[in-house]
Amino acid sequence: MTERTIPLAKLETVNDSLAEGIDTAGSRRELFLTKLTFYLAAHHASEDELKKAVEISLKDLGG
Amino acid sequence: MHQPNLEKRASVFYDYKIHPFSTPPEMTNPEARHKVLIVGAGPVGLTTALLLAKSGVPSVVIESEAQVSHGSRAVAATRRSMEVLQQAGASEPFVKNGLVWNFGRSFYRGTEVFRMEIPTDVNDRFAPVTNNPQQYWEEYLVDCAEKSDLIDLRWQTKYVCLEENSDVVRARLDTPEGEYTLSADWLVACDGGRSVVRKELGLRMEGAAYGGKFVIVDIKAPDFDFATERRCYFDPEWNPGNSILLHRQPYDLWRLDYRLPEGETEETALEPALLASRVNDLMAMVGKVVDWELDWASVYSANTKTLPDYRQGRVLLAGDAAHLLPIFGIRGANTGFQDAENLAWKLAMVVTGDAGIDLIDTYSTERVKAAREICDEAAKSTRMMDPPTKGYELLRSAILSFSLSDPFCAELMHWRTSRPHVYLDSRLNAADDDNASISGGIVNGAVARNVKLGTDDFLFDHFRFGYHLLIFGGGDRAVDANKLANRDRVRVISVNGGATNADVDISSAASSFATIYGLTQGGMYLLRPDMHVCGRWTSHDLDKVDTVLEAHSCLEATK
Repeated sequence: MTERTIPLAKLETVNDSLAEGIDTAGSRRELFLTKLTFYLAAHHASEDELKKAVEISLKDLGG
Repeated sequence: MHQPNLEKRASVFYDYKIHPFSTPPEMTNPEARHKVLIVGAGPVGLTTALLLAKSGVPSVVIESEAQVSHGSRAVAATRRSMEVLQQAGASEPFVKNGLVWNFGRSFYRGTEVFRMEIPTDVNDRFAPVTNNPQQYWEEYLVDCAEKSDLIDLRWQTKYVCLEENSDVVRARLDTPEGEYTLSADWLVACDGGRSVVRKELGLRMEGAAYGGKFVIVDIKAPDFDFATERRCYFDPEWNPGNSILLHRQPYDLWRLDYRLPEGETEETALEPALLASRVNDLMAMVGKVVDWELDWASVYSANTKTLPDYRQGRVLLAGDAAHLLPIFGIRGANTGFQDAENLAWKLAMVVTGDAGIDLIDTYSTERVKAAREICDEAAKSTRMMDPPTKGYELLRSAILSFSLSDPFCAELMHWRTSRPHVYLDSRLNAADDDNASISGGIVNGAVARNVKLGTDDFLFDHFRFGYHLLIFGGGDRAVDANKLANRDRVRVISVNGGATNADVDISSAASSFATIYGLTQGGMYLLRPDMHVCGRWTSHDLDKVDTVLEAHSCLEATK
């Protein structure tokens, strides 16, 4: 398991902020999420971190 | 005329008893005036009556039905609720017949993705959670109430309306023999989520309603042999996108809660063939298909709502009549017990003339604040169990997907079990004590901690329903408890030689006791009758205790 760097209370805030952002974007949620990921990757993640995040997020997508 | 159902409810495990109607004295003597009228003989109403009786205050409890309620409903009593029930003198059958648990497990695509453990402590008499179907909760409480000379429990008596709500409450009641009016100093509405009293007063709740509907099903299945724990299944193949909860109860009973597929009506959901197919699908999913019998099923929606004020003149509201909480986190009745406990001591003091009427207002301010905190907590659990929007639905899918390979966010599946509110800024807390300077222990506003004193012997076993002063030895010389001016209002417990003339002397486990309370060098804790700390000191200055007690009796009006 990757180590989480924020406490649970902050994770809950992240959860709520993302959900509200998606709801605000409405039918354009896919573009919103892509922009959000791109922004965070460009401003807050190293190349290795981004690669790892992509790998982990591709797992267990179902379908 | 009110004609309740006099046929026993059908059940595969519970033998309902029809309680007779007795002609009340008010039908021939309408001038009689009572202290307290409680509307509703559910867990909250009966507990309020029992606690009032412990304070010497009589009450009339009316119940429109002739028998206890149908279905397992509340099921799970928290440790705190058991402590309240102990104060009410009703905990024993809950423990004797109940099943206890402290684990919860969540599953997704056949894999356990989260395990929650509610901590246990050697100092606790009661388990974190005790399961009993609500029929039995009510039966145990009725048994206790019927033994009390101070509780007049009137079955088959339906609340109709208020005729007056000023210095006296006059309530119109309907019975199989006709209507009558009952006068009382106070009316406590404990008539549940569909409270008639609340509707009549035109009171509006604040908060959120969730659109998803859940089915509750009670089945008897002796061969369905999982451990006693809370099991949650997310997104099963037979109910995609939804969630299922499973709780074991005594009497070979199992409780299932599952969310309905979008667009399905309540009527469809409760069709026997569909219910049976879903129960069988669940059993197939967990790999244990056994014979079972249906006992009861119902549909509910999740809400996180509270009234902004629990007092309207001489009418007080408690339990589901005052707030609506989702089942996730076992908050409904468990919050109601705390309402009952908070209200009963204050109402008793006002009724007996030991306090001014404004003490009652602190019931509303404290419990509304508690309900709002609980609503916030419950909303988090509910958004996981019943995502209200596409955004929350996607986030839940992401959390579940991550949980299979990298569960860094699995804690978001925690349903934040009911816990007592801390009345941190209550006006009942001591204004001038050593709360801020005591390191550790239990802060003002928090509920006291139990302490194991010996084999089958705990601190709370020595409590009564009233104020308690814990005086710890170790620093000052022993203080004479009889020097307390309000001695008759307080049960004094001396720990490790803290006081002479105490009601209880505790020397066993004194060291761990003092450590839990953060007073190894001596001092005092004053506990309200609901066991919440309202003052603590590092000295044995009894005048300061008297100051707090007298302040409780002389509160100034806030409205």
